[in-house]
Parts: sequence; C-alpha cells; structure tokens
Amino acid sequence: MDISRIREYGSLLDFENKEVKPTDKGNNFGSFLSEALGKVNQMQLDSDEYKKMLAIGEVDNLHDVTIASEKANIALQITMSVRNKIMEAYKEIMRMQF
Amino acid sequence: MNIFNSINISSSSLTAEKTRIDIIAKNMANANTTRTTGGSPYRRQMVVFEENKANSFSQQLNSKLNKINGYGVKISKIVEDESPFKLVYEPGHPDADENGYVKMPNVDIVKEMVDLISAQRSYDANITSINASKSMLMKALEIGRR
Repeated sequence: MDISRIREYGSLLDFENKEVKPTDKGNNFGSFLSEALGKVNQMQLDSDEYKKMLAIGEVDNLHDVTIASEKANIALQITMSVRNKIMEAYKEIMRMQF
Repeated sequence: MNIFNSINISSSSLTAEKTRIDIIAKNMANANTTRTTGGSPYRRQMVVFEENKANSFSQQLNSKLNKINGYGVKISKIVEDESPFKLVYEPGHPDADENGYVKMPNVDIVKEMVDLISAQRSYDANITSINASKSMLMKALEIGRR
C-alpha cells in the first residue's frame, strides 16, 4: 500500500506558520452552534411556559402542552447526539499521535 | 424548525378537531333547548374547516425560506344549520303555540353521535401521525449508531 501520499497532508499539520483566522462574523461554527442551542433552549422554555399554564388552568388544548414537551424532548435528543458526535471527533483528534 | 413541520401541521388539526368536538358537545347539550336569547329554539351549529395557507407576506416569506409546506388546517367559521325546527305536539309545554306544538331544535342526536365518533377518530389519526413523525426522527438518530 502506498503510504507516501500521507506526506501531502503534512502541510495541513503545519500549525506554527499559520494563524487561525476566525471566519466572517456569524458564519463560524461557534455562532452556528450557539444559535442552534438557543433554539433548543427556547423550546424548553416554551414547554415550561405551557406546563405553568397547565398548572394554573389556563390551557385550552392539552395536546399543545404534550406536543410542546415532546418537541423539546426531541430537540434535546438531537442536540445530544450532535454533541456526542462532536465530542467523539474531538477525542479522536486528541488521541492523534505524532 | 423545519423538522417539526409535520408535527405542527398535525397539531393544527388536533386543535381543529377539538373545536369540532366542543361544537358537537354544545349541540348535544342543547338538543332540547327551546329558548335562546334570540327567542327561537336552539339552532344546530357546524364547523367549517379550511386549509391554513400562508396568507400574509411574512408567512409567505417564512414558508419559502424554511420550505414549510402549508400550516395545516384551521376553523374558518362556525355556521348555523338552517334546516327547519322539529315540531313536537306537547300542549303543556310553556313554549307551545296555540295548536299545542313546540318547536324543538334541529339537532339530531344520532347524527351528532356519528359526528362525534368521526371527530374522535380524526383526533386519534392525527396523534398517530405525530407519533409516526416522532419515531421517524428517533430512528434517524440511530443512523450510524453502533
């Protein structure tokens, strides 16, 4: 197997000569992630709001409460699986040996 | 969020069916009501469903941007059934006319029962649809899981 090709990727690992430039504002991974987390958080807050309204008897439709809570639950599970993927990738990179 | 589109649509239908059941309950409760504020006996009410489309500019824009395919169903109006009242011979009734006939509401309990079952089954069907959407999302998360 021809492993010499891996040298071509050597330049990618040349960290010292490169400074990491943050990309355009609002377009980098961090802001994307925090925006997505904000949406998930908003769903949890909506669900909480519905539960409060249910407790004080101001809910017209019970299904709105269960659906809001179900949506918050699904969104959280999706977030968790994204987070697990990211952590997995991070750990994989940290295990890299030179 | 776009992944909850089908759940939102089913949710609108649940709300609509709930309103329908409310109206049916009202009809059944007033099946023997001979007096209303208008003076006439109670008239049977019906709900009219309408597809909830993006009407305003912001809704149109939002549906194009987020690829939302409609917003489900809504109750456009509640109409009264204009069919004639049932005449029942009951001379002792306080609302009887000079011939002893009482105008009873044009509510047919059997028909209301059928409508009630239909509304209930539609509600169940939409809940099944929501559960199917949820299990699809959960299944999608299992892709690549060891």
